[in-house]
Amino acid sequence: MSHEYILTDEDAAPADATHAQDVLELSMLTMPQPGAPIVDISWEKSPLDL
Amino acid sequence: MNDAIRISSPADILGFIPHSLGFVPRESFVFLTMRGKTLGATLRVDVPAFAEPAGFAGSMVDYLALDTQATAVLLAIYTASTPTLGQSRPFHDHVEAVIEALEGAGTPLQDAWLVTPSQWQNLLCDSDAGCCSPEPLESITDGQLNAEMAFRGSSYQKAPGTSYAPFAGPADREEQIRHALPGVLGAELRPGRELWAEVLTRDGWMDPQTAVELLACFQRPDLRDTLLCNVIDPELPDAEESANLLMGEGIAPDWDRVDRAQETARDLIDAAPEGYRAPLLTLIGWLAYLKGQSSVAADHFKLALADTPGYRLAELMDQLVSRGTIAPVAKNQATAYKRHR
Repeated sequence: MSHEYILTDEDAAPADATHAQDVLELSMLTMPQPGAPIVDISWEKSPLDL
Repeated sequence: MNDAIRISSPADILGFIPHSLGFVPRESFVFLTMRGKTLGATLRVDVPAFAEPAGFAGSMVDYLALDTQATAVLLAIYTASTPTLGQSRPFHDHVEAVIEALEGAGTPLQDAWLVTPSQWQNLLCDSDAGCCSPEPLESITDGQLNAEMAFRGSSYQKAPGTSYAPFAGPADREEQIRHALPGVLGAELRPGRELWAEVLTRDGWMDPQTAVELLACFQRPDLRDTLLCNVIDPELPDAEESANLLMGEGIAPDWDRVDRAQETARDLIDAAPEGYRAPLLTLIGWLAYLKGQSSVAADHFKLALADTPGYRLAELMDQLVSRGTIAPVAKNQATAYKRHR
């Protein structure tokens, strides 16, 4: 089975995008769509006995 | 010397959460993993206003699986919402789905609490015996653990959110930055990198001329990206090949240096007129993302976009955290940021 990816003008990074922006743009293609909850994580040292 | 603080009550656990996150959550589900009798990770997400219960619970189990040593989970729900008609607690269906999913994952929900703006109470107890009646929030803030953590120098914001004071510097600051820009744009990346490196090793006050030069440096996009990367890897000559670093993959940051960079960026924001703050707000936000503080990151990206509408790097990073992404460096306890090191 083959896949064809057709890039349109909308897919192209802006001409003046920096490498970092290009990288982020590309990474986003393989991620879920926006709308997931924003997640905070902490591994705060807690020498805490329960 | 035994350095442990003993947690002896639910109020102590609830007292620990703001110290762990850096702020008192609002409208949030906060999960804490347990490893036997000790705590592991703290995970905060916005309350599931629209998410379907089973999907939400499944996502939470996936996130909590980051603590591979977890044996059980605790939950605190911070909300001003009241239960919908016919239900005993807010987000009842989501809590039930979480209980079921955690049970299936082998890390059962051991206990849960509801924290409202005025009181807190156990979320799982349905006894009419009055054993788990609501308690005032003061029992959290006045608790032994909170006092002990504060004594050790720990502090937190009373509410989530970020704001910066309006610019109050000299009237010709914008002109000063514009005057410095041609020199920055015409130069190689090295002088800007060296100035940034020097400032990050300084203690305390930054002279106005250095601030103006750095503000000009941060206006140049490829230099800005390099300065971001140099917080994590001081040796990188530019931001090419920086994909993994930007995403937080395969890095073990010097967190003291990261803290200094954020502090320096805050100083530079104070020195920057509106319209020149976006790169610094984006820098602080990106470093917050690496720290696992995605809500702080999102706040900064939105401030950057308010400062400079359409600021592309902030837009992209905002999309990154808005997809529930946790930086790989923050997923791993060994490499993750700890506020109290």
